[in-house]
Amino acid sequence: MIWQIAQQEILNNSKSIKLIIAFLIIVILMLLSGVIFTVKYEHLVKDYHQAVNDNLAQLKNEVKTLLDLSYQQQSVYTSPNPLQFCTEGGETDLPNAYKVGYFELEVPQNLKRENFMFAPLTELDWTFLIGVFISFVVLGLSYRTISGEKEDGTLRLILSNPIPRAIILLGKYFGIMISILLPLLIGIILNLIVILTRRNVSLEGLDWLRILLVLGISLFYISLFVLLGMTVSSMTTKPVISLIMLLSLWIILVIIIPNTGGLLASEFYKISTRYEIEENIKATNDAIWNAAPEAAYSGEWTMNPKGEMPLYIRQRVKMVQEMTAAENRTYQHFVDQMIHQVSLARNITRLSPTAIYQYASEAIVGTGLERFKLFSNQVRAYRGQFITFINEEDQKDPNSYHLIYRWENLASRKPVSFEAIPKFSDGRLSIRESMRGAFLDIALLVLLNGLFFVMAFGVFLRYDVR
Amino acid sequence: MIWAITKKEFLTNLLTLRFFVGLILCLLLAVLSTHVQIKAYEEELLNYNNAVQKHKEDLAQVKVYSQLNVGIDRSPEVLSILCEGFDRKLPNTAKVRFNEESEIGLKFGRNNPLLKTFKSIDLVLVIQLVLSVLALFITYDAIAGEKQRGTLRQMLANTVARHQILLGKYIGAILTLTMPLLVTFIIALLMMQFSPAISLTPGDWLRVGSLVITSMIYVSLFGLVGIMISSLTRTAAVSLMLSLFVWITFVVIIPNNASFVTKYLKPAPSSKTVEANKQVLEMEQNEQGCQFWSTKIYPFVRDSKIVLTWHNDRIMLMYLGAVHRDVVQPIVNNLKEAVAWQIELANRISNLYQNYYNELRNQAQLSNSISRLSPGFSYWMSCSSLAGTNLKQAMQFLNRIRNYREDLINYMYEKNAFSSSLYFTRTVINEIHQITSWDELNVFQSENQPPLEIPDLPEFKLIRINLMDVLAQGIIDVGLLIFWNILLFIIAFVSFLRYDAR
Repeated sequence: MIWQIAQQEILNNSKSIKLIIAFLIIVILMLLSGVIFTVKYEHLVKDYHQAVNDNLAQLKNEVKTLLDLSYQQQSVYTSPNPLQFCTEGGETDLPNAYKVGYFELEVPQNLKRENFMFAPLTELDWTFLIGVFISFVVLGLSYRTISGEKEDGTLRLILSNPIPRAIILLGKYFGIMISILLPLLIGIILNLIVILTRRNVSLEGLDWLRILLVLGISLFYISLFVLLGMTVSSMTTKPVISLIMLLSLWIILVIIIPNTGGLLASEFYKISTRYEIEENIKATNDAIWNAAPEAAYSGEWTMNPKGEMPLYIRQRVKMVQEMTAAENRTYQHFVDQMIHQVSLARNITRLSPTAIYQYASEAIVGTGLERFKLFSNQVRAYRGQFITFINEEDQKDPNSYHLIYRWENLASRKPVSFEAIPKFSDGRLSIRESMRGAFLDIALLVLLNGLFFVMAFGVFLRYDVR
Repeated sequence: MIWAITKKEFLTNLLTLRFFVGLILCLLLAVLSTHVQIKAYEEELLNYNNAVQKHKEDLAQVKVYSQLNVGIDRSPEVLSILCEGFDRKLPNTAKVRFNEESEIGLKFGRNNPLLKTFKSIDLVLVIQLVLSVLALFITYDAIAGEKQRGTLRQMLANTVARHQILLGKYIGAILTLTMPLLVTFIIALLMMQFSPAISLTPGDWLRVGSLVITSMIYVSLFGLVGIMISSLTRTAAVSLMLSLFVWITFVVIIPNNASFVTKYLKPAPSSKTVEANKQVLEMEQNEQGCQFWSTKIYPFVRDSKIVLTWHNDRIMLMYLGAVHRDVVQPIVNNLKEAVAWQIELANRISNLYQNYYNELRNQAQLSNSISRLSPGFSYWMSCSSLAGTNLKQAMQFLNRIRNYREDLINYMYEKNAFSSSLYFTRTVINEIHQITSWDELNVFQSENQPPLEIPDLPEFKLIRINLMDVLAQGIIDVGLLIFWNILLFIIAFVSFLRYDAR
């Protein structure tokens, strides 16, 4: 019985003009998105390789001794993610580079080809298409399920037979789901064909698994809106009213709530401005300078006849190392503040299923905020590795004074080979870790589905079908 | 007759659920968005005032002309509260020396790049998205709904001309929609008046008025879309569906994807190339400064004709403690050549950036032209022009930095900064003896000299809002909106004339 009801729903929908128009728009947008993505990705990859090679070339040519290495500032980058066509996650606006060295780890920068004069736009990825457009189409397909049938007079006819209400609901649910999934799948396949035939995007096995997972989440998301449509449809007697209610809900849930997160978060949780950071650093440096004994910053560099260093040199090194550490702490604190503010914004917007869907997809695919957090941690770990390497090499040199600090060249002058230097390598989270990051949002989606199903059922049970 | 139909439409619309829902939604969003925008503007204004104050204090620390490094700032535009545009996205502060433009940036602005994925909502966005949908909700059943209810044939059976019906419905819809529109604007303006930091000049009020008029044209456009589609279909539901498809295509999808297409099919020049070129020129400047110092100044230090306190090779920053009378003239003669060379290099660096900004702007404008297909985007463009926050106006600051530097150079030439000892010292003496203690040196330290007198230093005044210019910039898009209105009305009229009313 469920299948028959579903079949009828599918046939009705495929004859209607709205699904045809929706199908056309989906196909056009998917093709467009595929073409644009391959062009964009080519540029991103080229720029990335060039930047990394420039950094390595600089390392090779300028660094001859350990001393040079300690002063060297490297720029490290995160590689572009090929799965951006699934969920772009705001990658264009996110910082993708850090300047890192023995002494410093600065605030991250965005070194992509950025034209800041463009009006802000949302990237055309699957998440946008499904999250905004498909949810809209689904509401258009489902607003008539109950109230439309009542208006046509066919609902009382169906229920005068011994068919349980749950079966009708399920039948219609599957009907609508299949009606929308078929055009969507065709669109997705076209999109993948365009991307794969251009041959400059390489997808491995695990990437396909991620794509499948994103499709799975999309199923849950679409189902949510089908259920919402059916619920509201069984709350009114005239389909037009249910359509209006649904569309108002759509505007609030899909367009308004996901975007207010940023505003509200920056209201409730303020982060320091760049100006304040610089003032902070200056003030801390002044404080440390004043607290240090005068010997630390005066006096020449002279050794006593026994070849020992004067006491003040250790005090000076200590003072400068304190200043350097304080500066790095300030920068790190700023990055932590940035991340905290965005997490707050996200939590605020989790009222909207579109936002939940976006964050879950981002976590699975490995773009967006999660990728930035991973990158930041990787850079910090790399710096630790780099520092350890320099310190160990320095210890091995008996001629070195073993005092490495910014103001004077006291580190080992031993030559260091380019191959021995640890290099930064960018990596992605494993699938298990990605899922762990997405766990909250996926759970929310599943929970909401259950909730909406119960709601739809509950409301329909009490519906007057005459 | 038209008036009777108008009145009836107006009154019935007011009583419907959809109007009520739309009105409440508009109110809430207007309050929310204006509140947030006002807070942001007040913060920007505070930052601007602090910056101006700090720059003034910096000027009081200047002891010699070589130290003259003037900070310039741009104030936030008050109508950015209604339409944010690019006002808070483009640089608003810079420091200018005769041979350097530095620290150009958004030093005080909203600065968490991770938040860029969240768009900011302003009143214009609310109208662009919500009021257009409300317009569709009100007019989608203008013709088709009446046909379904059977009242259309009753109206036409009498001697009511078709054009009277159409006009009556159109004007009725406009009047209905004017209410939420005016309410949102009034609330926003009231909230702005209550804020102590905000005051509007008569010119500002005129621009607000033009914003209201543009919004009415935009809303009328969508009203006409609803009426037109209604007179092309037989049932109200199909009419609503089609109208909403049109809405989502033209308001959400097209503007987004036009930018998308231009952005990636013709990628922007990389800022790294510009930075690299700039570094090459700066190194040349550096070398030149170093050479000047080592060949033209240091010999005098070595000969003890100068008590040195500090200097900086690259950007010709020199503060020499005390200078023997005999060497002042030779130094000044050498200075003139070095200054000319430095200014030329600085001009080349400045040109680099101007070209880069122009390329970016061309790309952005190309994208905007394509996006103009969407009435929603046209509306936003016209509003940002009228509010003074469109790209051209936000970029004026960047363009004027170079002009200000030239003013500064002229000022310094007028004051003989480059041909007198005041470029590099405050103390010209006849005998320089051995300095044997810190106390003796302290006398010549720069911190202990009185501030340099710099009367009539050119002030950086950025007059951004020239009323005529602003209106002229907005007129293209407003014209486009009016064109759409006329086109849609003609189509609606023709299809209604052929409409089967039975």
